[in-house]
Amino acid sequence: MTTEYGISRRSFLQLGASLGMVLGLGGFRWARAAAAVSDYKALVCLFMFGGNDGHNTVVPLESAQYNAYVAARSALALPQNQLLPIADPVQGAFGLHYAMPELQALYTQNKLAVIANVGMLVQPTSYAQFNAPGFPLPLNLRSHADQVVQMQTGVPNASGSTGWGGRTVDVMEATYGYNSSTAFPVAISMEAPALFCEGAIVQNVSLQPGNDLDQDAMNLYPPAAAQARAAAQAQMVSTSSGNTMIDAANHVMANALALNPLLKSAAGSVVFQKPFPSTDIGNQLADIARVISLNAQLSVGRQVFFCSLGGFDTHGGQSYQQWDLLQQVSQALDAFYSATVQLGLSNQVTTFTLSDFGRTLQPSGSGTDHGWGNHHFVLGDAVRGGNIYGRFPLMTNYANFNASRDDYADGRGVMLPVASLAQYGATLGRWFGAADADLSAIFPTLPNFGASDLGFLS
Amino acid sequence: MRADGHRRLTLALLLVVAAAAAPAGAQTVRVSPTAMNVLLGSDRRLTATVDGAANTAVMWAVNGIPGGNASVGTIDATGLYTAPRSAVAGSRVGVHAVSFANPAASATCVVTLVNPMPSVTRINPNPVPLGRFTLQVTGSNFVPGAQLLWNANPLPTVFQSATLLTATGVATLTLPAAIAVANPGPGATSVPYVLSVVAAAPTRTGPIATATAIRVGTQTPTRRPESTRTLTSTATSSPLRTATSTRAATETMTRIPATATATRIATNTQRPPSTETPRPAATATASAPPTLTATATRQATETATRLASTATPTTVMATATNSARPPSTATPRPTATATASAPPTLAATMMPSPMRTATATMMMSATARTEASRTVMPTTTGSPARTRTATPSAAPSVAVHVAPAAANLQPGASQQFQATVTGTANQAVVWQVNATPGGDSSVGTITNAGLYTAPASAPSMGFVTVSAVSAANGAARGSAMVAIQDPLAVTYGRFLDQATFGPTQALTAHVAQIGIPAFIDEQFAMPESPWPALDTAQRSDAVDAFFANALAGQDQLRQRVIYALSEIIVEAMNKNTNGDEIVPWLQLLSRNAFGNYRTLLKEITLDASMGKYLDLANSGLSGGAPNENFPREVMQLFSIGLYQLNLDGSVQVDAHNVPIATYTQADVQQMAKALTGWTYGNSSGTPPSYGNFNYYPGPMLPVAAYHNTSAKTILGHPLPANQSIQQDLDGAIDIIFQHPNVGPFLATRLIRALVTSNPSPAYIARVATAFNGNGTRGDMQAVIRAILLDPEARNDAPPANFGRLRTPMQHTIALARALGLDLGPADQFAYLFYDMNEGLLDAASVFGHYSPSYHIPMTPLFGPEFQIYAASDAVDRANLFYGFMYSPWPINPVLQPFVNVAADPAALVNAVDQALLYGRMLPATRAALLTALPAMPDDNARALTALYLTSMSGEYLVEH
Repeated sequence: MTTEYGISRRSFLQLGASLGMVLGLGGFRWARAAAAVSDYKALVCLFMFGGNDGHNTVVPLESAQYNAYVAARSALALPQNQLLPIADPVQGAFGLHYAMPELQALYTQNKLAVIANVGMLVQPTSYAQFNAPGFPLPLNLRSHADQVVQMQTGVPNASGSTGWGGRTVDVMEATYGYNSSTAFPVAISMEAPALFCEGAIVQNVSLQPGNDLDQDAMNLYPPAAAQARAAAQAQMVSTSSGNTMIDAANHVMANALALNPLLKSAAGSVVFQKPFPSTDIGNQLADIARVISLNAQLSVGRQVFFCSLGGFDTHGGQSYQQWDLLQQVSQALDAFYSATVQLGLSNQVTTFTLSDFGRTLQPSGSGTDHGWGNHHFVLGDAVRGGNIYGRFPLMTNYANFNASRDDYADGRGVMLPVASLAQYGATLGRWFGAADADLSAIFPTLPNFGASDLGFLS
Repeated sequence: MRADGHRRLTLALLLVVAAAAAPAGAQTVRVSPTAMNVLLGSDRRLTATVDGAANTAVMWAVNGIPGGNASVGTIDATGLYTAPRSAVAGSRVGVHAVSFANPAASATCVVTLVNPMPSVTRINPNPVPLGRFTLQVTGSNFVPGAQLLWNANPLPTVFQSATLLTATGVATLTLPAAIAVANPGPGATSVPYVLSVVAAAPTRTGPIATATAIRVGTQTPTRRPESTRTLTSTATSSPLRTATSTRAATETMTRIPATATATRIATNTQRPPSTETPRPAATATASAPPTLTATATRQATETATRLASTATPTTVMATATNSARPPSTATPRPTATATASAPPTLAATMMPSPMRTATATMMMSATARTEASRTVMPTTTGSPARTRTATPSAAPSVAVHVAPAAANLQPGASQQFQATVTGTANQAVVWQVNATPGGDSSVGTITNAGLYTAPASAPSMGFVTVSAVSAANGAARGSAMVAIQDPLAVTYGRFLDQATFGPTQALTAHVAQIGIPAFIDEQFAMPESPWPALDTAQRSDAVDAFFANALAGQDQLRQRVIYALSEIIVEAMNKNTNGDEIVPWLQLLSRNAFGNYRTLLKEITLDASMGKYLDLANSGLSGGAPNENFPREVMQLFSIGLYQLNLDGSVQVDAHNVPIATYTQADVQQMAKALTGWTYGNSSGTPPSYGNFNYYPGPMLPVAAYHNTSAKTILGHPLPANQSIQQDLDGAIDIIFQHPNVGPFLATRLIRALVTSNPSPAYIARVATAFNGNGTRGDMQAVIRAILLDPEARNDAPPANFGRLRTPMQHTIALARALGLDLGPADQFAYLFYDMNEGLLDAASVFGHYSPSYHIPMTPLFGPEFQIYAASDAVDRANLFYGFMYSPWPINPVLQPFVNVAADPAALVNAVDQALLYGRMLPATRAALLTALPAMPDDNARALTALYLTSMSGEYLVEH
């Protein structure tokens, strides 16, 4: 029987049987034969490295706000007739950057939500508190090196060695017994390791698009020689040595040997009806979609993914650069969402964005400088889409900054976050299956905030 | 333009001067783009913007070299960057724009050098017939190392020119194939070219002859016209002995892999009937004294591939070949006979090769003679007949016999050998060891009288060859094999795995000579390996030095301790981006590796590079609360950790079984106050009255006016009000240093970094006790001695949970040291370490590349290094090693000694075991290798198989 994705159950079971033979280690398995997990869920993080300029990603269209925006942004302001209209039932009319017609359509179909002005916070912070000596603030705001770490660790006031994605899956495994029937990677970053995926229990496995864990040494002629070399390796890494550390090291290579054909089969198994754009981020999301397509066969219950796109540090030449990058994001997310629909998993896969920080509203030459709070997107059928969550900063408050002190942290229009990353992540984590107590452990600052659920997921 | 060194120094000087004099409210420089790919040899324009200065001009530099140079690329005054013509694809350079107005203001664009995208315009043949093929691929932008991809699978490819590649492979399906060419490095793969694959068998004309070629049964025969040739070789070894071998052999034009002798029948049945051709015959006759006869054996040998080294000749007996052919009424079977009237055997071997050459080797052997041979290589394509005559030179009648033929010795032991020379009255011989007359200290020595003395330590291969060469005839020699096994190989190998970056033969010999304790003392006294000069250090210089010192520094123990400390007291280039911001940290760890830990704590507190990395620099000088970053990490990560510890490293708990914290947020804030008022240094070294800008030579300087002089209480210990900035510093350092946690904290981390991930509590307690000292607390030499000399470390039969996983860097270097691999500068391959989660000098955070408390998944065991060893890391590591081993193709020349013994699988496995595992290879590993080796096509592939699989085996991955 062949599934719609092209991998037959039988061939998978045969594969499993042969792996069992090859690996032979006590208790080792990719998946217990037929223990399919019925409620698979995946969280997919798209990180925009460099700090995306949220001010030009979502723009208010209501005339007073738009005029204030133009006044603040001057040459960087996007023309009103080019912005792609979206509406929030409460906060009114907005426009997405003209690079993102696909996301506009998804927003209109209620598949996409905007989460306004999210950022790293230790606790709710007003402008006065921000400027009060000794008030607890995230370490090293506006520093790329520190903020990309904090966004992934979810810890604003200390360093950390694990990421909130990894910790969330840790909880799902340790407390709720997910993934107990699989040894397939459950925290996967594309192209490079990501702190986000590192857990105390789960291990970040990084995959490169198109790299199926082939060993160069197995590309040997004649085929019989390659087979002999591979067979010897399989035997070596599956034989108990009498030393647990050696066995554990061998176990990792055994994982790679078993993963290799699975990734190969995943690569060829699915033909996505809506082709992925052949961009870097498109390739990453295509690979994620292929791995997701294997979830049932592999009895994976909960999985987190991390993909990324760099170049958002637009200190200069922002107009072209941000258009170029946002259209890549929009097209890739659109293809990815379609793929989840095709796989029948669009209600079980939620995709969200992160970035180092937002940027200044006031331009600097042809670009903008490092900021703090930022707008983000969440995508999927579980998302209560078509809404903007959180108070969208008023451009008029920037115009009156000296008087109002609302929404902004300084005179250059750096957004003072109204929602913390901890709340944003906890909302995603609750949908994933974590309870309040779990979420407070995953996000140590979460108890400092009144609401632990921003409401954008059903 | 070539005065790069001078110009680079000038720029550095400018930067230094400017940094010292830079006014507040500095200018900023931005460069666009901030990252880009540039094709090798092509150019891209960059733009720079200067804010905050009237003078918006910038100077351009590449990797710190003004204007760049040929190896990193050049940049002109307008910002036009031209990439170098050749460089490692995927390597990165930094292009800097430096403000004229304020040279301290600069911006960098990271340029990734990439190969051009190749294109394919024509492939010959097209269509390609099923079966083995050689493709000629015409196109453009091919570079050396370009790889042909057949439906994304790489084929053995030979770079012929920028417009021509050849590649070989086997087509098995009559489906169109997508052919692409990938140049090395990222993003350089051509658009696919569709190649048709057909089953058509070309028409055949011309005479049919016997087929000595071989076909793979699964393939449709694609015979082309065949040629017939006759080879006659005559060998005359002396007037008394001649041998004539006549062979009429026919060869097919198409060569299919030679491995499938059994499938030939099937192939031939598909051939058109053959009626007209007499079979060729091969005979060899030799006339000699009539009482002696010899048989001639004829062999046909073909290689599968002409160009790829993977093809090994496979020998097929002529008689077997002919019996398998289809019926042919007219033709007598070819025969090969040889009669030799010489003492006592004459063998004639015919070896047609795929280059359409035939080799006829006449070998004569006799008890009193050594062999004589002649090789003839006629070119036979299309020729109906070829004749060659082989004439062996007069066979030497001198022979040498060495007794005993084999011996087992321990290092330093001696063995007397005897040589017997026959065939001449001259009994004199010259003794050699591994072909070196008299031998030498690494292979052992041998006297003129044949007394062999083994080297002080076992040679890396585990054996040597002792030979006696006749003085009368240098071609006459006899040999004996001497295995040299050091009974203490495991003892020294284990120790050097823990105390250094891995044993070399010389180092093992040295330890064997002076003993482990004396070696440790000697290492304590060894001068430090050098570090790059701060004023010129590039990022790549720092990486190169860090790696090169670990690989080849004489101060191996210091380098290993530096490496361990670098994961405890972390800095990283993702924040400290320039060479001069990272080198001071390395210098500091190097200087203090064998000193006192209090000195290390104080120096790291004041270090300017750490001042930047964890933000202590200018804390308290710029308003707001004192910065808590360093004050927290100096306690959590550098000294006492999160929880109160017992001497044996176990965590203290309260009545509710909750771990007792060592410090509170209040302690962090108090510590932060105590450490306010430090700023960057300056070239004069005089304490400033205000904050300095970034400056890395020397420690930070106090700015007394900005020191918080209130009373503080840290970890329960008071620091009175109105102390000087120095008094608060020393007081704060003492409070940390005297905390009882430091001993067990550091003991646990260093034992995990050097010896084993799961030390017993008693082991930790013994090392912690050494830290606490007898009067002197914090003596690193005492700690290191206690770690390395502890019975738990020195137990050569350790328990089942003993050992630690080698990190990528440690694993790579140990392999290079064991095999003698020359890896070249580390910055050339440093990017691969990012894939393996160990970006060199570039941990993702202050927590280092991995957590010291990481558990091996699904086990209760600690295994910190396993955090960066997932499946993808394993394959990345394996591919890195394989690249080092097979490059330059087909095998790294330093591995030739393994190739030399590869004909004997057991000898090869022994050699690899000796070199990497100190003779401890597990029986199962040995059995797996011995099963695989006979399937390899040649000795290179055998050596690579044994070395590659062993290098990535758990036994070698885990130092144990």
